Amino acid sequence: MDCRAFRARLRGPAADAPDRTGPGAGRLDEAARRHAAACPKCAADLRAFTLLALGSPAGAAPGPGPGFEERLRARLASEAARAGAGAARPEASWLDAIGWLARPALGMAAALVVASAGLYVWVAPGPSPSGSVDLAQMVEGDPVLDRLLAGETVGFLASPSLDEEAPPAGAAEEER
Amino acid sequence: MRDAAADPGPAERGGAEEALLVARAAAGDAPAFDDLVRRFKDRVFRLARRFVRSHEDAEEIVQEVFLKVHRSLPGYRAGGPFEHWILRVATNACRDALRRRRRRAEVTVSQIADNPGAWLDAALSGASLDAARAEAARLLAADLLDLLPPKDRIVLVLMDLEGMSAAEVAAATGSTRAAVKVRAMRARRSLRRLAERVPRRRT
Repeated sequence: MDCRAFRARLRGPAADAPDRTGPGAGRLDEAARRHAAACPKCAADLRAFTLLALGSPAGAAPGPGPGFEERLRARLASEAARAGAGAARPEASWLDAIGWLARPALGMAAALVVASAGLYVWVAPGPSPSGSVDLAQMVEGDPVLDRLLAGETVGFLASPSLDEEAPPAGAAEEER
Repeated sequence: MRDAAADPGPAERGGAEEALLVARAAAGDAPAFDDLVRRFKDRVFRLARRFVRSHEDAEEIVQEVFLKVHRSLPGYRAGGPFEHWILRVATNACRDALRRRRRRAEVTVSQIADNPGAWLDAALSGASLDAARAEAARLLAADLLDLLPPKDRIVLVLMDLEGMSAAEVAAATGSTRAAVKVRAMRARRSLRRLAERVPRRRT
């Protein structure tokens, strides 16, 4: 027997199946045993395979225990109930709640944010010291984005000029 | 005269029947899904049992697999036998279970036995052990195998114990045949090193 034949004998479909002689040398015929005794590499393979077969048994039971399908159905039902409850929550579909009419306005607002960011880059005195535009600072200072983030989605878009910022609270008192 | 071209063989008929069953289950047909569960539960269980210590843990994995199959079926697109897909879901679940256990405990050979080589040598010689010692030997071997990377262990079990080909393992793990062969080679080397770390029986 050569090493190739030995390895083929060692491994294979259900190599540790109970109807065979179990893991390790016990399942090998005499020729294979003689080969393993004479070949250190195949002996090491046999030792490794024995460890694998011992630590990864297929188990005595051929399948899940009785009542498995009923338990699975119960879990499926509870999962479906949870999913149904989640879908019923109003916040799950906030975009639907504001109505399809608001969607074009939101799209316009997003386009304006992009346009104003582009304008800022165009008119800015120069690149930041690092040589690139500081996007985080640019977005933080954008008034349109601030108002969108504050929850104003539609109303202020109808104002005459987006460049006119509302005076900060208390500014009127300071002017006096 | 029998027209061989017009009369599909049992394999084709079985495949077409299974595809129909899967399509019905994906459309929400509960009896069709139950039928799929009956067909594949033992196969998934046998695989799961190889990676966990108890029957109950294996059953938990089988439940997880079928819950995931149920959730994913509406988006399932058949690109091969359904068994490959379900085995892929199952090997992912087994890999997750192995990862969880690896995080929990790191063992060394000297920690797990006073005479660490005795049990492996006994198994190698084919000597029969009493039930308690055989169970202890299995647990020691399982502790050692937990030291292997989960992907290595999955490839070893599928190829060397389940007798699957590299192509079948590739389909079951979402890998390529070449990648599976390379991993199997490395994993066998790691396993040999692991077995070499178990000292020979003290005499």
